[in-house]
Amino acid sequence: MVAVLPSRMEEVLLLVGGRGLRESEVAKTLGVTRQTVNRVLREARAKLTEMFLGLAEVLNADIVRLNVSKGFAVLRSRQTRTKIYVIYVPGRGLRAVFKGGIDCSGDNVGLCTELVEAASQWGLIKPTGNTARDVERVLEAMEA
Amino acid sequence: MPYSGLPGVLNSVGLVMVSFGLVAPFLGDWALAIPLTGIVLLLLSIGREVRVSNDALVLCYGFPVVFYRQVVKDVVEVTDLKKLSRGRLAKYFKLPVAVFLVVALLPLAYLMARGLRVPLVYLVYLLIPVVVCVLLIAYFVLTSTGYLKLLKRVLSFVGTTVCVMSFFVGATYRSVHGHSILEDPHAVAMWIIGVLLLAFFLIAFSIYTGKRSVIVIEDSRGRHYAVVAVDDESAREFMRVVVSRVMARGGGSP
Repeated sequence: MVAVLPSRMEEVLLLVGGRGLRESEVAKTLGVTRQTVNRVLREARAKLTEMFLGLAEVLNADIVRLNVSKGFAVLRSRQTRTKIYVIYVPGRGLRAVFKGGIDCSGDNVGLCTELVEAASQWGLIKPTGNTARDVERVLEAMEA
Repeated sequence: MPYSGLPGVLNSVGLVMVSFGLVAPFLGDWALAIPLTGIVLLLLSIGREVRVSNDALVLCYGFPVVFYRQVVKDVVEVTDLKKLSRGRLAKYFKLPVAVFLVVALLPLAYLMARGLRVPLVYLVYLLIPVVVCVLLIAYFVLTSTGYLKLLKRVLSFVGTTVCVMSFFVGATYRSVHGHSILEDPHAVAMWIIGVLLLAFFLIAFSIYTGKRSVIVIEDSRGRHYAVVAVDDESAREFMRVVVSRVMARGGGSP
Protein backbone atom coordinates (compact mmCIF):
# COMPACT_ATOMS: atom_id res chain seq x y z
CA MET A 1 0.00 0.00 0.00
CA VAL A 2 1.39 3.41 -0.97
CA ALA A 3 1.50 6.16 1.68
CA VAL A 4 1.54 9.11 -0.68
CA LEU A 5 0.35 9.45 -4.27
CA PRO A 6 2.78 10.54 -7.02
CA SER A 7 2.73 14.32 -7.42
CA ARG A 8 1.27 14.18 -10.95
CA MET A 9 -1.66 12.12 -9.68
CA GLU A 10 -2.25 14.53 -6.81
CA GLU A 11 -2.12 17.45 -9.21
CA VAL A 12 -4.73 15.94 -11.55
CA LEU A 13 -6.98 14.86 -8.66
CA LEU A 14 -6.91 18.33 -7.10
CA LEU A 15 -7.53 20.11 -10.39
CA VAL A 16 -10.56 17.94 -11.15
CA GLY A 17 -11.94 17.29 -7.64
CA GLY A 18 -10.78 20.41 -5.82
CA ARG A 19 -11.06 23.09 -8.47
CA GLY A 20 -13.77 21.45 -10.53
CA LEU A 21 -11.94 21.62 -13.87
CA ARG A 22 -12.95 19.37 -16.75
CA GLU A 23 -10.54 16.76 -18.06
CA SER A 24 -10.03 18.78 -21.25
CA GLU A 25 -9.20 21.90 -19.21
CA VAL A 26 -6.74 19.94 -17.06
CA ALA A 27 -5.13 18.55 -20.21
CA LYS A 28 -4.69 22.08 -21.54
CA THR A 29 -3.31 23.32 -18.22
CA LEU A 30 -0.78 20.48 -17.93
CA GLY A 31 0.04 20.31 -21.65
CA VAL A 32 -0.95 16.66 -22.06
CA THR A 33 -3.73 14.84 -23.92
CA ARG A 34 -7.20 14.36 -22.46
CA GLN A 35 -6.68 10.59 -22.63
CA THR A 36 -3.59 10.93 -20.44
CA VAL A 37 -5.55 12.97 -17.90
CA ASN A 38 -8.33 10.37 -17.94
CA ARG A 39 -5.87 7.53 -17.39
CA VAL A 40 -4.01 9.32 -14.59
CA LEU A 41 -7.31 10.24 -12.94
CA ARG A 42 -8.55 6.65 -12.96
CA GLU A 43 -5.27 5.33 -11.59
CA ALA A 44 -5.14 8.03 -8.94
CA ARG A 45 -8.69 7.34 -7.76
CA ALA A 46 -8.00 3.61 -7.66
CA LYS A 47 -4.83 4.12 -5.61
CA LEU A 48 -6.58 6.53 -3.27
CA THR A 49 -9.36 3.97 -2.77
CA GLU A 50 -6.76 1.33 -1.90
CA MET A 51 -5.23 3.67 0.66
CA PHE A 52 -8.58 4.30 2.37
CA LEU A 53 -9.42 0.59 2.20
CA GLY A 54 -6.05 -0.29 3.74
CA LEU A 55 -6.56 2.17 6.59
CA ALA A 56 -10.09 0.84 7.23
CA GLU A 57 -8.64 -2.67 7.58
CA VAL A 58 -5.87 -1.50 9.90
CA LEU A 59 -8.41 0.32 12.09
CA ASN A 60 -10.87 -2.61 11.87
CA ALA A 61 -13.53 -0.21 10.60
CA ASP A 62 -16.30 -0.23 8.01
CA ILE A 63 -16.49 2.40 5.30
CA VAL A 64 -19.62 4.53 5.75
CA ARG A 65 -18.73 7.00 3.04
CA LEU A 66 -15.90 7.19 0.53
CA ASN A 67 -15.42 10.09 -1.84
CA VAL A 68 -12.28 9.83 -3.97
CA SER A 69 -13.25 12.92 -5.91
CA LYS A 70 -12.93 15.03 -2.75
CA GLY A 71 -10.25 12.89 -1.08
CA PHE A 72 -12.03 11.85 2.10
CA ALA A 73 -13.73 8.93 3.81
CA VAL A 74 -15.90 8.38 6.86
CA LEU A 75 -15.23 5.10 8.66
CA ARG A 76 -16.94 3.44 11.62
CA SER A 77 -15.07 1.27 14.08
CA ARG A 78 -16.50 -2.27 14.21
CA GLN A 79 -15.76 -2.54 17.93
CA THR A 80 -16.58 0.88 19.40
CA ARG A 81 -18.92 2.13 16.61
CA THR A 82 -17.01 5.41 16.75
CA LYS A 83 -16.82 7.36 13.53
CA ILE A 84 -13.42 8.15 12.08
CA TYR A 85 -12.98 10.99 9.59
CA VAL A 86 -10.11 10.53 7.15
CA ILE A 87 -8.78 12.99 4.60
CA TYR A 88 -5.92 12.72 2.15
CA VAL A 89 -3.40 15.50 2.74
CA PRO A 90 -1.54 16.12 -0.56
CA GLY A 91 2.16 15.32 -0.27
CA ARG A 92 1.74 13.81 3.19
CA GLY A 93 -0.84 11.02 3.08
CA LEU A 94 -3.94 10.12 5.08
CA ARG A 95 -4.88 11.89 8.30
CA ALA A 96 -7.61 10.60 10.62
CA VAL A 97 -9.69 12.26 13.34
CA PHE A 98 -12.02 10.34 15.66
CA LYS A 99 -15.56 11.56 16.31
CA GLY A 100 -15.67 14.03 19.16
CA GLY A 101 -13.31 16.31 17.34
CA ILE A 102 -9.79 17.32 18.14
CA ASP A 103 -8.26 19.86 20.49
CA CYS A 104 -6.45 22.18 18.09
CA SER A 105 -3.83 23.32 20.60
CA GLY A 106 -0.40 22.15 21.70
CA ASP A 107 0.88 19.21 19.66
CA ASN A 108 -2.28 19.11 17.54
CA VAL A 109 -1.85 22.54 15.92
CA GLY A 110 0.08 21.05 13.00
CA LEU A 111 -2.49 18.31 12.41
CA CYS A 112 -5.39 20.77 12.52
CA THR A 113 -3.65 23.07 10.06
CA GLU A 114 -2.99 20.15 7.71
CA LEU A 115 -6.63 19.08 7.86
CA VAL A 116 -7.93 22.55 7.09
CA GLU A 117 -5.43 23.14 4.27
CA ALA A 118 -6.22 19.77 2.71
CA ALA A 119 -9.97 20.34 2.96
CA SER A 120 -9.48 23.72 1.31
CA GLN A 121 -7.45 22.15 -1.51
CA TRP A 122 -10.15 19.52 -2.06
CA GLY A 123 -12.81 22.23 -2.16
CA LEU A 124 -14.60 20.99 0.97
CA ILE A 125 -14.48 24.31 2.86
CA LYS A 126 -13.16 27.85 2.57
CA PRO A 127 -10.98 28.51 5.64
CA THR A 128 -12.13 31.31 7.94
CA GLY A 129 -8.88 31.64 9.90
CA ASN A 130 -10.33 30.03 13.03
CA THR A 131 -8.60 26.65 12.81
CA ALA A 132 -10.64 24.87 15.51
CA ARG A 133 -13.92 26.00 13.94
CA ASP A 134 -12.64 25.12 10.46
CA VAL A 135 -11.81 21.57 11.59
CA GLU A 136 -15.39 21.22 12.82
CA ARG A 137 -16.62 22.46 9.45
CA VAL A 138 -14.42 19.90 7.69
CA LEU A 139 -15.99 17.07 9.71
CA GLU A 140 -19.46 18.44 9.01
CA ALA A 141 -18.69 18.66 5.29
CA MET A 142 -17.63 15.01 5.28
CA GLU A 143 -21.09 14.00 6.53
CA ALA A 144 -23.13 16.52 4.55
CA MET B 1 -34.11 1.35 -6.07
CA PRO B 2 -35.67 3.48 -8.88
CA TYR B 3 -33.78 6.63 -7.96
CA SER B 4 -32.53 8.28 -11.14
CA GLY B 5 -32.44 7.93 -14.92
CA LEU B 6 -35.12 5.92 -16.75
CA PRO B 7 -36.21 3.85 -13.67
CA GLY B 8 -36.56 7.07 -11.65
CA VAL B 9 -38.72 8.67 -14.33
CA LEU B 10 -40.88 5.53 -14.74
CA ASN B 11 -41.34 5.28 -10.98
CA SER B 12 -42.27 8.97 -10.61
CA VAL B 13 -44.72 8.94 -13.53
CA GLY B 14 -46.17 5.62 -12.28
CA LEU B 15 -46.78 7.01 -8.78
CA VAL B 16 -48.46 10.13 -10.16
CA MET B 17 -50.64 8.06 -12.52
CA VAL B 18 -51.77 5.69 -9.76
CA SER B 19 -52.60 8.65 -7.49
CA PHE B 20 -54.32 10.52 -10.32
CA GLY B 21 -56.39 7.44 -11.15
CA LEU B 22 -57.92 7.58 -7.67
CA VAL B 23 -59.35 11.06 -8.26
CA ALA B 24 -60.15 10.82 -11.96
CA PRO B 25 -63.30 8.70 -12.37
CA PHE B 26 -64.68 11.46 -14.63
CA LEU B 27 -62.37 10.27 -17.39
CA GLY B 28 -64.65 7.34 -18.13
CA ASP B 29 -62.82 4.42 -19.72
CA TRP B 30 -59.50 6.13 -19.09
CA ALA B 31 -60.17 6.16 -15.36
CA LEU B 32 -59.05 2.54 -15.13
CA ALA B 33 -56.36 2.73 -17.81
CA ILE B 34 -54.43 5.46 -15.99
CA PRO B 35 -53.82 3.66 -12.67
CA LEU B 36 -53.21 0.35 -14.47
CA THR B 37 -50.58 1.98 -16.67
CA GLY B 38 -49.13 3.51 -13.51
CA ILE B 39 -48.88 0.08 -11.87
CA VAL B 40 -47.13 -1.32 -14.98
CA LEU B 41 -44.65 1.57 -14.88
CA LEU B 42 -44.03 0.96 -11.16
CA LEU B 43 -43.37 -2.73 -11.83
CA LEU B 44 -40.97 -1.87 -14.66
CA SER B 45 -39.03 0.46 -12.35
CA ILE B 46 -38.59 -1.97 -9.44
CA GLY B 47 -34.94 -2.57 -8.61
CA ARG B 48 -34.17 -6.32 -8.87
CA GLU B 49 -30.48 -6.95 -8.31
CA VAL B 50 -26.97 -5.54 -8.53
CA ARG B 51 -24.09 -7.29 -10.25
CA VAL B 52 -20.43 -6.52 -10.59
CA SER B 53 -19.22 -7.03 -14.14
CA ASN B 54 -15.90 -5.91 -15.67
CA ASP B 55 -15.19 -3.69 -12.67
CA ALA B 56 -18.51 -1.87 -13.15
CA LEU B 57 -21.82 -2.11 -11.34
CA VAL B 58 -24.86 -3.34 -13.25
CA LEU B 59 -28.18 -2.30 -11.71
CA CYS B 60 -31.12 -4.40 -12.97
CA TYR B 61 -34.69 -3.07 -12.94
CA GLY B 62 -38.09 -4.59 -13.74
CA PHE B 63 -40.54 -7.16 -12.37
CA PRO B 64 -41.22 -10.00 -13.18
CA VAL B 65 -38.52 -9.81 -15.88
CA VAL B 66 -35.53 -7.50 -16.07
CA PHE B 67 -36.61 -4.57 -18.21
CA TYR B 68 -33.61 -2.28 -17.97
CA ARG B 69 -29.94 -2.57 -17.06
CA GLN B 70 -27.97 0.45 -15.88
CA VAL B 71 -24.19 0.13 -16.06
CA VAL B 72 -22.43 2.37 -13.54
CA LYS B 73 -18.76 3.07 -14.27
CA ASP B 74 -16.26 5.48 -12.75
CA VAL B 75 -17.74 5.42 -9.26
CA VAL B 76 -16.24 8.31 -7.28
CA GLU B 77 -18.43 8.22 -4.20
CA VAL B 78 -20.35 5.64 -2.20
CA THR B 79 -22.39 6.57 0.89
CA ASP B 80 -24.45 4.60 3.39
CA LEU B 81 -27.13 7.21 4.10
CA LYS B 82 -28.44 5.42 7.19
CA LYS B 83 -25.13 5.85 8.99
CA LEU B 84 -24.62 9.53 8.23
CA SER B 85 -25.64 11.76 11.11
CA ARG B 86 -25.41 15.20 9.55
CA GLY B 87 -26.44 14.51 5.99
CA ARG B 88 -28.26 17.04 3.86
CA LEU B 89 -31.07 14.74 2.88
CA ALA B 90 -32.59 17.23 0.44
CA LYS B 91 -29.56 16.55 -1.73
CA TYR B 92 -30.46 12.86 -2.02
CA PHE B 93 -34.27 12.91 -2.10
CA LYS B 94 -35.08 15.61 -4.68
CA LEU B 95 -37.05 13.36 -7.05
CA PRO B 96 -39.17 11.55 -4.39
CA VAL B 97 -40.01 14.90 -2.77
CA ALA B 98 -40.96 16.40 -6.16
CA VAL B 99 -43.25 13.42 -6.86
CA PHE B 100 -44.82 13.72 -3.43
CA LEU B 101 -45.54 17.42 -4.07
CA VAL B 102 -47.18 16.62 -7.42
CA VAL B 103 -49.37 13.99 -5.73
CA ALA B 104 -50.28 16.47 -2.98
CA LEU B 105 -51.43 18.96 -5.62
CA LEU B 106 -53.59 16.42 -7.49
CA PRO B 107 -56.87 17.31 -5.69
CA LEU B 108 -56.45 20.91 -6.83
CA ALA B 109 -55.62 19.75 -10.35
CA TYR B 110 -58.79 17.65 -10.27
CA LEU B 111 -60.93 20.67 -9.38
CA MET B 112 -59.30 22.76 -12.09
CA ALA B 113 -59.59 19.99 -14.71
CA ARG B 114 -63.30 19.56 -14.01
CA GLY B 115 -63.87 23.29 -13.74
CA LEU B 116 -65.67 22.76 -10.46
CA ARG B 117 -66.67 25.71 -8.35
CA VAL B 118 -66.50 24.64 -4.76
CA PRO B 119 -67.40 26.69 -1.66
CA LEU B 120 -64.47 28.69 -0.33
CA VAL B 121 -64.51 26.79 2.96
CA TYR B 122 -63.95 23.49 1.15
CA LEU B 123 -61.13 24.99 -0.86
CA VAL B 124 -59.48 26.10 2.36
CA TYR B 125 -59.90 22.58 3.76
CA LEU B 126 -58.23 21.27 0.64
CA LEU B 127 -55.44 23.82 0.56
CA ILE B 128 -54.40 23.74 4.22
CA PRO B 129 -53.18 20.12 4.22
CA VAL B 130 -51.41 20.63 0.88
CA VAL B 131 -49.60 23.80 1.96
CA VAL B 132 -48.75 22.46 5.42
CA CYS B 133 -47.59 19.20 3.86
CA VAL B 134 -45.37 20.95 1.32
CA LEU B 135 -43.83 23.23 3.96
CA LEU B 136 -43.23 20.44 6.47
CA ILE B 137 -41.72 18.03 3.97
CA ALA B 138 -39.43 20.82 2.70
CA TYR B 139 -38.51 21.61 6.33
CA PHE B 140 -37.87 17.97 7.18
CA VAL B 141 -35.59 17.21 4.27
CA LEU B 142 -33.66 20.42 4.80
CA THR B 143 -33.15 20.02 8.55
CA SER B 144 -33.23 16.33 9.43
CA THR B 145 -29.77 15.23 10.46
CA GLY B 146 -30.20 11.59 9.51
CA TYR B 147 -32.23 9.21 7.40
CA LEU B 148 -33.89 7.49 10.39
CA LYS B 149 -34.74 10.82 12.00
CA LEU B 150 -36.38 11.98 8.77
CA LEU B 151 -38.42 8.77 8.68
CA LYS B 152 -39.51 9.18 12.30
CA ARG B 153 -40.56 12.80 11.77
CA VAL B 154 -42.51 12.08 8.58
CA LEU B 155 -44.36 9.14 10.18
CA SER B 156 -45.18 11.20 13.30
CA PHE B 157 -46.44 14.00 11.08
CA VAL B 158 -48.68 11.73 9.02
CA GLY B 159 -50.11 10.07 12.17
CA THR B 160 -50.83 13.41 13.86
CA THR B 161 -52.41 14.83 10.69
CA VAL B 162 -54.76 11.84 10.39
CA CYS B 163 -55.88 12.27 14.03
CA VAL B 164 -56.51 16.00 13.60
CA MET B 165 -58.21 15.56 10.24
CA SER B 166 -60.55 12.96 11.76
CA PHE B 167 -62.06 15.64 14.00
CA PHE B 168 -62.48 17.95 11.00
CA VAL B 169 -64.14 15.18 9.02
CA GLY B 170 -66.53 14.52 11.90
CA ALA B 171 -67.38 18.22 12.28
CA THR B 172 -67.84 18.72 8.53
CA TYR B 173 -70.05 15.64 8.30
CA ARG B 174 -72.31 16.99 11.05
CA SER B 175 -72.56 20.43 9.42
CA VAL B 176 -73.41 18.92 6.01
CA HIS B 177 -75.79 16.11 7.06
CA GLY B 178 -77.16 17.56 10.28
CA HIS B 179 -76.32 14.56 12.42
CA SER B 180 -73.26 12.84 13.89
CA ILE B 181 -71.12 10.64 11.68
CA LEU B 182 -71.48 7.96 14.38
CA GLU B 183 -75.15 7.58 13.38
CA ASP B 184 -74.07 6.49 9.91
CA PRO B 185 -72.53 2.99 10.23
CA HIS B 186 -71.38 2.91 6.58
CA ALA B 187 -69.50 6.20 6.86
CA VAL B 188 -67.90 5.12 10.16
CA ALA B 189 -66.94 1.74 8.68
CA MET B 190 -65.32 3.41 5.67
CA TRP B 191 -63.45 5.80 7.95
CA ILE B 192 -62.22 2.98 10.23
CA ILE B 193 -61.14 0.88 7.24
CA GLY B 194 -59.29 3.87 5.81
CA VAL B 195 -57.47 4.58 9.07
CA LEU B 196 -56.63 0.90 9.58
CA LEU B 197 -55.26 0.64 6.05
CA LEU B 198 -53.17 3.76 6.60
CA ALA B 199 -51.92 2.45 9.95
CA PHE B 200 -51.05 -0.91 8.38
CA PHE B 201 -49.21 0.87 5.56
CA LEU B 202 -47.29 3.11 7.98
CA ILE B 203 -46.28 0.20 10.21
CA ALA B 204 -45.17 -1.89 7.22
CA PHE B 205 -43.38 1.12 5.74
CA SER B 206 -41.55 1.94 8.97
CA ILE B 207 -40.45 -1.68 9.49
CA TYR B 208 -39.38 -1.97 5.84
CA THR B 209 -37.46 1.30 5.68
CA GLY B 210 -36.15 1.23 9.25
CA LYS B 211 -34.25 -2.00 8.78
CA ARG B 212 -32.99 -1.25 5.32
CA SER B 213 -30.03 0.89 4.32
CA VAL B 214 -30.05 3.23 1.37
CA ILE B 215 -26.67 3.35 -0.34
CA VAL B 216 -26.11 6.20 -2.77
CA ILE B 217 -23.50 5.89 -5.50
CA GLU B 218 -22.15 8.78 -7.57
CA ASP B 219 -20.20 8.45 -10.79
CA SER B 220 -17.64 10.84 -12.24
CA ARG B 221 -20.35 12.57 -14.30
CA GLY B 222 -22.20 13.51 -11.13
CA ARG B 223 -25.05 11.04 -11.65
CA HIS B 224 -26.52 9.44 -8.54
CA TYR B 225 -27.85 5.91 -8.16
CA ALA B 226 -29.33 4.23 -5.09
CA VAL B 227 -29.31 0.65 -3.88
CA VAL B 228 -31.33 -0.64 -0.93
CA ALA B 229 -29.68 -3.26 1.27
CA VAL B 230 -31.95 -5.54 3.32
CA ASP B 231 -30.00 -5.09 6.56
CA ASP B 232 -26.83 -3.59 8.04
CA GLU B 233 -24.73 -6.66 7.27
CA SER B 234 -25.74 -6.63 3.58
CA ALA B 235 -25.08 -2.89 3.45
CA ARG B 236 -21.55 -3.41 4.83
CA GLU B 237 -20.90 -6.21 2.36
CA PHE B 238 -22.21 -4.14 -0.56
CA MET B 239 -20.06 -1.16 0.43
CA ARG B 240 -17.04 -3.45 0.63
CA VAL B 241 -17.75 -4.90 -2.82
CA VAL B 242 -18.22 -1.47 -4.42
CA VAL B 243 -15.04 -0.12 -2.86
CA SER B 244 -12.79 -3.14 -3.40
CA ARG B 245 -14.12 -4.48 -6.71
CA VAL B 246 -15.18 -1.33 -8.52
CA MET B 247 -13.51 1.78 -7.11
CA ALA B 248 -10.16 0.18 -6.30
CA ARG B 249 -9.92 -1.22 -9.84
CA GLY B 250 -10.53 2.00 -11.67
CA GLY B 251 -14.28 1.49 -12.03
CA GLY B 252 -14.78 -0.11 -15.42
CA SER B 253 -12.09 1.42 -17.56
CA PRO B 254 -12.78 1.06 -21.27
